[in-house]
Amino acid sequence: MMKKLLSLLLAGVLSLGLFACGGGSGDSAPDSLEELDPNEKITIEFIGWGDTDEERNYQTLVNKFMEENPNIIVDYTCESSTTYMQTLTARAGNLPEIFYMPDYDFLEWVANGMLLDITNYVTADDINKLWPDAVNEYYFNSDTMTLGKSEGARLYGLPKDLGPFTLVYNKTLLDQKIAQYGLNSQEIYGILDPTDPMTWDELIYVLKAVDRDSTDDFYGISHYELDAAVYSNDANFFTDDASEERISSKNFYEAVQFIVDLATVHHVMPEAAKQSANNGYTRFKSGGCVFSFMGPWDCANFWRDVTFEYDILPVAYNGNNPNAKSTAWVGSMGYCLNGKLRDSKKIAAAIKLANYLCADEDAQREFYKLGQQVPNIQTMAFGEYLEASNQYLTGKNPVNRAVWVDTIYNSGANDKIHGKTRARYYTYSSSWLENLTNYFETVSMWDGVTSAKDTCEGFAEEFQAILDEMRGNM
Amino acid sequence: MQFTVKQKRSPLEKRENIIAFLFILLPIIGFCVFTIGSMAFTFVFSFTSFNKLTGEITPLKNGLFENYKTLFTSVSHSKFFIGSIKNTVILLLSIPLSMMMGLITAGLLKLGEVKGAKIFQILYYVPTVSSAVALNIVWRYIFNDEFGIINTVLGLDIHWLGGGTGNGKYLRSAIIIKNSINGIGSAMIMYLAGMLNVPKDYYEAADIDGASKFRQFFSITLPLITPMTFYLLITGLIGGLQSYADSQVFAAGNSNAQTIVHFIWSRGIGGSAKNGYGLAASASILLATAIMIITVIQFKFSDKWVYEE
Repeated sequence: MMKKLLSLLLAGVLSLGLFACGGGSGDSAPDSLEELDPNEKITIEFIGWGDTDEERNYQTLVNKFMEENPNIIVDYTCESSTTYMQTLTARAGNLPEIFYMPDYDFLEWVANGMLLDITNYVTADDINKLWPDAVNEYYFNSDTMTLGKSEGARLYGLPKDLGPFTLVYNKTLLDQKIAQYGLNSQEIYGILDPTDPMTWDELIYVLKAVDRDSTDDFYGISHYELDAAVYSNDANFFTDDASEERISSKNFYEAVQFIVDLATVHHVMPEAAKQSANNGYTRFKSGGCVFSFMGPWDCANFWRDVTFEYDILPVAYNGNNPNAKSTAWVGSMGYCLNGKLRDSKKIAAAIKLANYLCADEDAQREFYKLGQQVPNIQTMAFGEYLEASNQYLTGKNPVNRAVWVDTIYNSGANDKIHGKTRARYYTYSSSWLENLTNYFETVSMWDGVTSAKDTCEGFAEEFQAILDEMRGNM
Repeated sequence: MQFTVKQKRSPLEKRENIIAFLFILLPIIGFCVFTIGSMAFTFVFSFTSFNKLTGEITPLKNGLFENYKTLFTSVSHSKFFIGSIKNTVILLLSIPLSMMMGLITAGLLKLGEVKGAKIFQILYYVPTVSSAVALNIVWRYIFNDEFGIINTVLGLDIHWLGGGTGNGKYLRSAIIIKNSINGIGSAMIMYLAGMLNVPKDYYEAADIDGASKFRQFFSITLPLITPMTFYLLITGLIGGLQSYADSQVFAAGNSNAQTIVHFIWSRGIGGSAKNGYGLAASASILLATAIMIITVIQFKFSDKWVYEE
């Protein structure tokens, strides 16, 4: 009886599901877009994320767009980044016309058919001027289920930005420490060369020079990015198709051990517990450390809140590994369109907005002026953005903006400085990362209780099983 | 031979019933749709694969109970699910602690020897009527490793908020301490009400018989306020098993303090598109079943220790 009832309920719900899926999936999006009638008003909804600075910046740009396109009304909403994906997922059945899509969620969304194929709606002129790596991230081949630009791959988004996360240092504090401890300023600044990345040993040398008391609450560096250390030792979490683990490789655990040692051996970084009690961002801004990490999106906030001088540097690399190069992680976000959108006019309006935000010169200029991002347009990034006489950036930190541009260009400009998309971009879910970080904590690796080698090797088998399970659930 | 006389309801009575029913119709509809309906869907979803992005519902590939099996066997999820059960059970320790402290506080206040007893009652009761999120944020400041009042005043160097050696132990201890203190207010009010209801004659008779205050408390007060203890235990256990803000706000998602409901949230809201809802639904069903069984057992044995007039 119970089994019958359950089967009946299941059958009911499954039919409901089929019914729900049936709507709207039969027709397809138009092959090309018609010109919008300037006298016909079109309203589109645009959702993004960010803090109040980002919201204000985007509203400014959206208002400008509406001034230039009076027939298009953009209803812009800004969500908190912590709840953004939950909101978007909850609205999966009724998505806005255009929305942000973080690189690390792109694969799951595009593979589930949630994003509109925009290949036919953008011209080569629109995208050729952008960073190639940025555009390539939003290509996907649904036949082979592979990411990136390849034969048969289609474009599902335009890049909002490319954001390298590099080292930042408090120059005012560093100069104070140099004076306080009588350090050789030339030597220190020689190591902190923005065009020639320092090695891990050199970084440790500088950190130890400025942080001499291991018992106080002042540190050389707030924390260290795991990805930055791993990539800068020619290592990775897994192979590019996420099929085989690489955490048991020597390069990987060496990179992890480098971070552990900063806290437990050299005492120049807060121990794990202190890092979770007071995040690096807060510690850096309050003068509790000399070094930290920073991305271009932090500029608006730093320009408003930070009173000291600061500048950026490429991330450090393992000088003992001949294949290692300074490689920071580069995050990205795409402007994607609702995959169920079929109204040619709405698509045209949304594409126009995406193009404007992504590739319009005035908009890109406005974005870097507001401290939002490095310009998407390559010539602008290498040109006016880096010009010392740039009227909008003169007197503003960081001065070494070329570090970000070099990282994005990924060896195109400076062979010593590289950038890499985070590993999470290549997987459907973050369960591998959740399990890995949980294991690191469980065995108290960050406190030096177990070595990185033992920890990574001990977890490798389980990590591989997680990768296998994740691929099985695709 | 027996005859039953069926009384016919008058039209007025019928009309009154209809009006009364109409008054409660909206809450009934709300209950059916948002409670019964949600429960039924959760039950069914726990046996299916529900894609939260596409809305597609498909049968599970490896049998009806695949989601339930995944909770205990999947290499990606089982560690977190089993850990969340362990954490939830450990955190229930705060229930007896808060009841004990509430009882002691009520006893002290009832003695009438504390000046400003009403003010103390209000102060102790404030956490009960405060937002759980706000409270957890305040407690995070109190337990902060670097500038928290506990470490500073007591001169301790305990990493209460986790992220280091033994972080699970300290994090869970902090939550137990926090919840025990937060729970004093409601336990105190209930016990105080119970104590005031105990007839004075019992104490007078005990005094005449020469019973000490201590003996009076254990032989008269405690047995007569067992209905309050029973109520606090039932509501405390149900609330404790459904704890969420502790994990999300106080522990900031640290897996060492992840509770079952936080696990459900993390899989249902934050999990993967393909099996997130199914896993969350099956964990919800297991939790609801556990709560039901525990509550039934408590009621079953209540006649053995709960005082009834």
